[in-house]
Order: sequence, then C-alpha cells, then structure tokens
Amino acid sequence: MSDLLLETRNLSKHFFFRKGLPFARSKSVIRSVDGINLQVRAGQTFGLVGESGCGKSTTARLLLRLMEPTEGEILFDGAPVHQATGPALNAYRSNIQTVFQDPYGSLNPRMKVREIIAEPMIATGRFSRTQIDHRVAELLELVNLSPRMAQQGPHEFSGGQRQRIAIARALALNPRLLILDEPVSALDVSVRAQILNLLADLQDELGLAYFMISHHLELVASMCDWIAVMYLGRIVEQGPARQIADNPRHPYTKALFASALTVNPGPLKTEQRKIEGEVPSPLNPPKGCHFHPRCPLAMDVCRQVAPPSVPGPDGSVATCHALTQSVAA
Amino acid sequence: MTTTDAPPLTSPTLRRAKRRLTTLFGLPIIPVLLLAPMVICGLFGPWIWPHDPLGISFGIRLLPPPWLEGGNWSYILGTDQFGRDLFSRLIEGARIALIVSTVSVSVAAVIGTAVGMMAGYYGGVIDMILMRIVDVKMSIPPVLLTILIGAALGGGLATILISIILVFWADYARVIRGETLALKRTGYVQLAKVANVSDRRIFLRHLLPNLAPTCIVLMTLQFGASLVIEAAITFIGLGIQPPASAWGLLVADGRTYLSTAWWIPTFAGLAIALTALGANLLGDWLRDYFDPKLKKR
Repeated sequence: MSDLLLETRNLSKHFFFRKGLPFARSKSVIRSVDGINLQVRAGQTFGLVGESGCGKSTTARLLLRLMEPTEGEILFDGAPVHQATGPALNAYRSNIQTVFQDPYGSLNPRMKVREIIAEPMIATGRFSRTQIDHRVAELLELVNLSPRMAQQGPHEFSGGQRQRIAIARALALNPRLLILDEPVSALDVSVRAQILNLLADLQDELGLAYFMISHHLELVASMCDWIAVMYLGRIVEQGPARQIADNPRHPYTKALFASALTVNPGPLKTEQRKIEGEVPSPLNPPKGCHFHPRCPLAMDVCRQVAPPSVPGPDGSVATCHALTQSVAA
Repeated sequence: MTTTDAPPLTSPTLRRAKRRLTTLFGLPIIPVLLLAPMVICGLFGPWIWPHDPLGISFGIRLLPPPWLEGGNWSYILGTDQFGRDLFSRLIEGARIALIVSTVSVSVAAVIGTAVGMMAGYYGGVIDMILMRIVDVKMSIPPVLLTILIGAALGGGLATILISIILVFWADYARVIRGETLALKRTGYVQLAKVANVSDRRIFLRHLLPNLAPTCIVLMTLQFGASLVIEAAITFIGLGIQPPASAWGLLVADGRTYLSTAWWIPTFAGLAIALTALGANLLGDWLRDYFDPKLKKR
C-alpha cells in the first residue's frame, strides 16, 4: 500500500432549510453527505460511484473546499485542511485540482487558452511572464495539444479538446491529486477513450492520484484501484476495485453491478435481481439502513438500526446487517 | 397546406438577406441614422449652428419655417418668441442631451453593476442588505424623487444627473445580480476559486467580461429613457434653466404658443422622440447581436 494522501473522517454536509408558511415553519435537513470515511492513496485512483443525487458531487465540492463541511475532517498528508484559510488553504489547493464534467462551462468563453491554463499560476503571483508562457506550452504538449493553440479562444475547440485544456490547467501547479467529477460523461464515446488514456498516461508520468466520480461502473472498475459505493449520502461498501466488481457483498453493490450491461448477458443470479423502485427522497430518508425499502434481503433490524461496518477481504468494508447475520450463523 | 420542402421563415438565406437590407458596415442603419444627428450636433454644435442659439432679435419673433408664408430660409425651423433660431437651439439642446445621457447612464451603470455583482457573488447578508436598498429605491416614485432633489439642489444640470442616476442604478443592480448568480455557478468561476484566484480577479476577468453584453444593452435602452426623463425634468422646471437651451425646455416654453407657433415645441418633441426611438432600436439590435443563441450564420 502506498502512502495515504487524502483522508476524510466522518465527513458530513447537511443542508438545513425551512419550509411552510411563516410562523408555522418546520425545519428540514438533507444529509447530502452523511459521515463518510475515505482514504485516497498517493499515485492511485479512487473511484466513487453511485446514482445521481447520492452526494458524489457534494463530496467533491467538500474536498475542493468549495463548501464547508457540517461535520468531520479532511486530512491531506496527515494535516487537517477542512478549516484551512489563507496560505494553508492556498497550499492545499495547489496540491489538489479538479476537472469538471462539462467541458463547455469549464472554460471562460472570454479568455484565451493561454490565460485559462495560466490562471492558477497567475493567481500565485510567483511566476514571470516568460515562465508562464513556457509552462503553458509545456502543458499543452503534455495533453497532446499544439502550443500554438494558446492564442485561440475556447469556442474554437471540440469537447474533447476542451477537456484536454481543462486537464492542462489542472496540472499547471503540479498537483498531487486530481478530483475528476465525471470527466468523460459529457463527451462522445469516441473521445472518451482518448481522454481516459491521457489520464492514465499522465498518472504514470506524473505519479498523480485521482479521485474519480462516476456513475459508469465499467469505467470505474477498469480505471480505479479502490472503489467506494455511495447511496443516499452514505458509503455502503468500499474496497479494492477487483474485489468490489467481482465479489460485491452489499446487496446495493450487487444490484448496481448486475444492472450494468455486460457483453454476454447470462441469466441473473437470484441474489443479483435488479432492484425496484426509486431512490427515496433525501429529505426523508428511510430509517435504519437507507437501502432497506429496495433491498431483497431486508430484515426487521434493517428498518430500525443503521447497519454496522463489516470488514471483508483485502481491507474492504460493507455496511449491511445481512453480512453480520451470515457471520453469526 | 404547407409544403414540406419550403424553407422555414428563419432560413439562413432569408436572415442574410434581411441583414443585408438593415445593416451597413455591420451596423444597423435605422438606429444609427436616428442617433447620429444627436451625437454629431452634441459634439460639434458650435461649428454647425447657423446662428447664436442665445441671440435674441425681436424683429424676427415667431418666424415660421420657410415652407410656410412669411418664413425665411435662413431660419429653416423658424424662430421662437425672442427671435432666436430654433434650429440652432435644437443643436445646442443636443449637447445637453448628450452630456446628460452619457454621464448619467455611465455612472448609473457603474454603481448598479458594482452593487449587483457584489450582491450576486457574495450572497447572504450583503445580498440582503443591498437588495433591500434596491427595493426601497424601487418603491419611491421617480417623479417624487426628482422633485425632492430639485427642492434640495434647485434646478439645473446637477439635479437632472443625480435624479437620473438615482432612478437608473437599481435596474442594473437587479439585472446584474441575476446574471452574476448564474455566472457564479459556472464551471470556470468554480475552477477559479479552486485555483485560489482572488475575488478581484474573478470580478474583473470572469464576471465583468461576461456581464458586459447585458450591461451594454441595458445602457443603450436607458440612454433613450434618460433623454425622455431629462426632457420631463426640464419641462417641469427643475432641469436646465433658460436662457440655455434643452429639448425639454423648448417643449415647455413652446407649449404656450402651440396655437400660434406650433413649430417651437413640435421639432423639439420630434427630436426627443426620434432619438429615444433610435436608442431603443439600437438596444434591441445589440441584444440580438450579443445573444449566442442568435449567433450569426
């Protein structure tokens, strides 16, 4: 196991709001991210999967400090950064950068590529003009674009090229961790492979760690070293990618991977039946285990008590009552 | 029944034909034609006017335009009750109109945009305080505000400018705040924050350039409105004072002579209406021009 780079402890983001008429308001809370513990290791790819609305992107925004966590800690290199301000926050942010899903919204239409890529460097105020020009050319080459493109505007580029520009910008300050929020899901299928290969090459070349958010299971299974599965703000199962993809233990993970299309679909195993119904409203999540209304294995205890974490092979953890039952039995 | 192969009404060919008819050197013909006289007269008045706009000569009082009986081609729009050349006075009035419109609209735009950006970007308490101030402003009738300022400062250019600025800035604040709220959520502003870009730089490099089209369109529309307000303030006697010339003043002075010398208020009124129309048309054109959804070709 390589070095621990980023760690979250009991990280939570709750949104409070009032609804109803004045003087008769009730307070509501949405627990978008509810006490999650993650560990991202240097040079490795961490995959966070889940359905839309489960809190994946909120987690990314918390890690980027675009949002303040309600509770919990974020540690980078062992140092807490969840309350960092000023120089400490700047230092943290030069180590983590991000690439968003939408390559069209990520680039300011009124800037030249040079300025877009150089912006993190300009913001530090530590680089001269020639240093910046040099580095921009270097970064453009790194993402397989021509340095001549620096003088062009973003509207002259395709989605794939824009995403390369976004990656080049993210790498400007030599970060150690890139947070990739659905980095290829807005792209054409033909371009996806190129961007994923580029990301893989950059990881080898620069020793980057990735925190990849996706709802694309095959992609995560093939790209990631470690996978965490999120459901309604909680991590239901996490572990080494092969372990999670091949031998999922949590019924939600099983259903998730069973629902992904395979090349040779065979008959579904009884346990891997597709799950029915919708994700419950995060405003009013089910008691006990959030998954119990849709779970084929739901028992009485699931409806009352939040499930415990049950360790599995290779450091994987699943939170499910059914697993404790089978251990006890 | 419609035939399926008929080109839609907004086909590129049709749009190109329309653009060729309505624009010259990339500029819309009609708005420019309506605005140009005011701008040229405003800038070069003293070299254009044929007579001193303040030159009184009682011998030629209330001279009608030359195409009427008793008219004189030297005074192509006639003269007023003091024998001053109306054409020259209109040109002099264009200068006041130009100063008032440009200064008041620019200052209002700067104040309003700054307030709107701060409210939209920072949100929370700052947003609440600034927007409540805007609400308070919106609830005061503009005419009342103008009369109050006029009472405090007396009539004059300053009263006009302050009144128009106070009336207009809140429009910018509202519109710009809304746009800023949307811009704040775009990927590039979020990425700028992640890259530790200072708020100042986010305002100047990310927000302002993307707000500029909206701001320019609003300024053009308000340019037209400011002409009308300037005329109205002058008309009620709180604006430009005689013997100086302003379009609103010509209308106000001339209205007592409407039955005997209709030309005094009429041409000034036309100047106000046509110039304001030009500004509004230009604003509409700019709005389409900046709209990415209607982008050329």
